[in-house]
Amino acid sequence: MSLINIQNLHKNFGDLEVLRDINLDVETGEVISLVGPSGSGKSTLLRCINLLEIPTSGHIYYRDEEITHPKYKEEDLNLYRQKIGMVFQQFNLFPHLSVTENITLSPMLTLGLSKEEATERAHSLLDRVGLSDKKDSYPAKLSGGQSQRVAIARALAMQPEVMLFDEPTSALDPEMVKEVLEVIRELAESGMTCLIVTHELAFAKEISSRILFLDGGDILADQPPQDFFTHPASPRAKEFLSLVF
Amino acid sequence: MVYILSHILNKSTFLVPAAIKVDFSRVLPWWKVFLEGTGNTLLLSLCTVIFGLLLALLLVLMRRSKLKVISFISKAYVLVVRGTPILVQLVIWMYGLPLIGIRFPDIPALGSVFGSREFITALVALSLNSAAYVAELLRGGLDAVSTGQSEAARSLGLSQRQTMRHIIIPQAIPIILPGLGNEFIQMIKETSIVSTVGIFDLMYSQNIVQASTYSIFEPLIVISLIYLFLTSVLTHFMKKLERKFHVVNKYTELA
Repeated sequence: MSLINIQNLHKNFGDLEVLRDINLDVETGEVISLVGPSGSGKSTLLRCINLLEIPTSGHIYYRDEEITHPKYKEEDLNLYRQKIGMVFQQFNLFPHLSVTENITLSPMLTLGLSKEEATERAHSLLDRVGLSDKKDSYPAKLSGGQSQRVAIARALAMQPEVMLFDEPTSALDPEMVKEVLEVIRELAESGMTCLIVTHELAFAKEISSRILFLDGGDILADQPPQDFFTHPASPRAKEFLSLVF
Repeated sequence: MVYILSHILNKSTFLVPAAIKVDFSRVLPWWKVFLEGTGNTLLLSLCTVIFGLLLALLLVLMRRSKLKVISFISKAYVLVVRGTPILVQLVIWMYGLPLIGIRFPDIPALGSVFGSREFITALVALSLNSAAYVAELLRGGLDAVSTGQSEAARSLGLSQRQTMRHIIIPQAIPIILPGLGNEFIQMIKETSIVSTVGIFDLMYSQNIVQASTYSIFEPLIVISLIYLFLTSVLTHFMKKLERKFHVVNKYTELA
């Protein structure tokens, strides 16, 4: 049994076909990078996995339970999303809450942690991403790199089983990319199942167990990094690599 | 002040020769009438704002409903109410609808002014009117909070309701407050149209004094000053409220 199993997934935005017939298995502990040109459907695929986008057709199973089933309830979806952490390109920190409150909000509301437990968890996570000194700051006072590390800590506070990263470094100034990638690397090495949409190919090569190359809504290559970067399975991937890598 | 004003008015050559002699002393004994009018204006404005806000909340909820019919009703309501003059709406409620059998009863328990059919009808007409404007304000405020905020909240497992309550509404309030203050101030002034249907508000008190003293100019100035005073106090209060919700300092984008 795969952790995540996707079958014949289609997603249309109006007349635009963004994903066509995606089939994918994700095993526990895998670190999968999704690469490809802009508009290839990578982010949409990621957002379908926690149903921020509702697939037009197809099936997604999590631990053999179909989350795309018409009878799958709203409350079940909320419980499911607690297990799937997500990190956004634009951070999406809550500007009206302090860094600590950003992290403790959901554990207190949805996991029933007390304020003390949640705060303790938040502070140890902030320590882990190197931001202990920012625990009482508000998001507007943080740099992009710091914001993204808080966003990662916020997702981890739910103790998820899978982490989704949607272009986590694309909105960052160059000098801040590294500090965020280091946190993701550490997470990947700790055994967390990760799906990462990224344009950082060198990073993807280093940390991934699998590279998915998407173009035009199709998965054109699905290979371990050492194979993908030496002999990609698709001419489009080869062209892409020759242009950007 | 009164002396100087009347002096200028009397001596100015650009005024028509038949200019009146300004004399506030003739209207001042009628202060009780002005006071009662002010009280009624305040009560009418306050009730309108409260009922208008509650109705607006309902309209916004309807607008966001997944049922197309409900959402359409809300949209159509706002279109009609904002697209017709409030005076026309008032006259329809007061004189039009009773012709087809829709009329509000007197409620003697609320007193002779507040309990009168006219006062209740005016309150209904004004509240329904205000609700449309406030609903648009609320909707604008809620929409101004980026979708990324609710996506982040939902991705953490928060329900729709929790997302609304803990993420969207707290961020929408500072956006909505200035507009809401404007609406309240507008309402104090707008209630003056109820005098046209014979309700004893501040504007109407001017009619009474005018008819009794044959002074036209002075009562108009008196009620203008009272309106100005009321709106100034409200402006000051709203400014304080805005500051309380730290519209500016706590989380504007500085970084």
